[in-house]
Amino acid sequence: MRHLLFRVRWFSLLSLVIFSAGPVPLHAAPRFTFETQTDLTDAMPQHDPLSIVIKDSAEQTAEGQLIHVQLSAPKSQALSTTDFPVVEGSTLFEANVGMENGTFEFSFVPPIRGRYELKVRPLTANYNLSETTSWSFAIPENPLKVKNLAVFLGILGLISALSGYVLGSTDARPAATASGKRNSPLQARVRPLAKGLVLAVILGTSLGADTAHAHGSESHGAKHSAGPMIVQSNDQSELKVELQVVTGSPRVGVPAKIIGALRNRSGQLIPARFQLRFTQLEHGSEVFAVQIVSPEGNFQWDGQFYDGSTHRIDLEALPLTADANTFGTRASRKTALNVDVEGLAPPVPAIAKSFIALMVFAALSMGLGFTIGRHRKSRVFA
Amino acid sequence: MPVPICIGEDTMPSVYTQARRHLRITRSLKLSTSRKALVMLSIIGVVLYTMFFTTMPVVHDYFHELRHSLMMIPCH
Repeated sequence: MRHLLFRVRWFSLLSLVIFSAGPVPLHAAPRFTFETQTDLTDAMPQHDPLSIVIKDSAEQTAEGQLIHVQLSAPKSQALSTTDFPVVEGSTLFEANVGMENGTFEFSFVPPIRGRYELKVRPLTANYNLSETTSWSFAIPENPLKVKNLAVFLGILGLISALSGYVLGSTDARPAATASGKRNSPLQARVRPLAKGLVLAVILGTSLGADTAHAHGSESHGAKHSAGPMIVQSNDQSELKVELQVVTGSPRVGVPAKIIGALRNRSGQLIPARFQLRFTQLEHGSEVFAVQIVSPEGNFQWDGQFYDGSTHRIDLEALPLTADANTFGTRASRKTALNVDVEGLAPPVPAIAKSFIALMVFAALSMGLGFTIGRHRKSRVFA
Repeated sequence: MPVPICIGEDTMPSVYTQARRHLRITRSLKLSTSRKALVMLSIIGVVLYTMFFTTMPVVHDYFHELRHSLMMIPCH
């Protein structure tokens, strides 16, 4: 009994020592943190921009340290599709950027509903180069679109059910003709004609065009180019900001390679803070904005335009140097470029998913209406 | 009393006569219920495809906002 008490006391003392040291984390806390300026549950696709801030939680963060950041769109779903199926699963943007005060911030308008993935990887020597931090956040669908779909399905169901009801209530077995079950000459002419007419309409609409043209682009003076597009600020100051779209006219689903630079008159690059913005001109709404700190004086940004319409790219550069006398005033330099984003027709699987779903719904509604019509007819004539 | 329409030397039957003839033709068509349903579904399918899925620029631009206002219609 005394031995047992001795063991219990030692065990209690040992437990007190272990558990009083505090909880031991199973793994180290991530270096980067993710914050949004607005609540994610309030975010909607193609609505207000969503601001995201990435912060470095290290105690000492050197200014302008580089990170590789990548934002990916939600992956395709098996049974449903979104407004921009070409964007699903693609990279929305990817770039090496510098952090200012340990912070990197950008805002974008989510193009589609679903779960987005954001990855950050440090690039400078004093970071662990293999450390990649990733976050995923979900953007819900616009409730108004869900309501509109419900209303549309109601109308489609009503029309289909009504058709089925008429078919069911007027259903009569065709009486055999005097010559047996042979069709009349009129039927022999009308039936192939009806089939041919339906096929002609279907083929005509589906073969009308394979790719959708970018709508509304002609009125905005957009540039459409297969090669690089370059524009510079036109003022007579010491510094000039350059904006270049290397890949030519952007295309939905493919990130456009955008290069910006701030140079002096002799062509030397000047360290700068760049403000890059994309504005969709059709609705006049800003769809993307980011501030990039570049100690080298230039940057490359691979960003995707998800809507096939005219966009304006605005680039503003502010020299980082504190020596205002070297470059005259420290006013920012601006330039802008209108680009005609080429839209693509939705892929066939995306069209098939939605079309088949709607037809199945219509067929089921028609079947329901037919059943009700037959039942009512049998009750009336019973 | 319906008046025949005279165009040139030929006399076209009146509207009422044509309507009665069409009704007689329709009643003589002995389509089965399943074929009637198939025709109706085909019409619905053509209308849905034209409104929401065709990529013809004229039709696409006309119904563009309607397509984007529904949840499951792919546009671009």
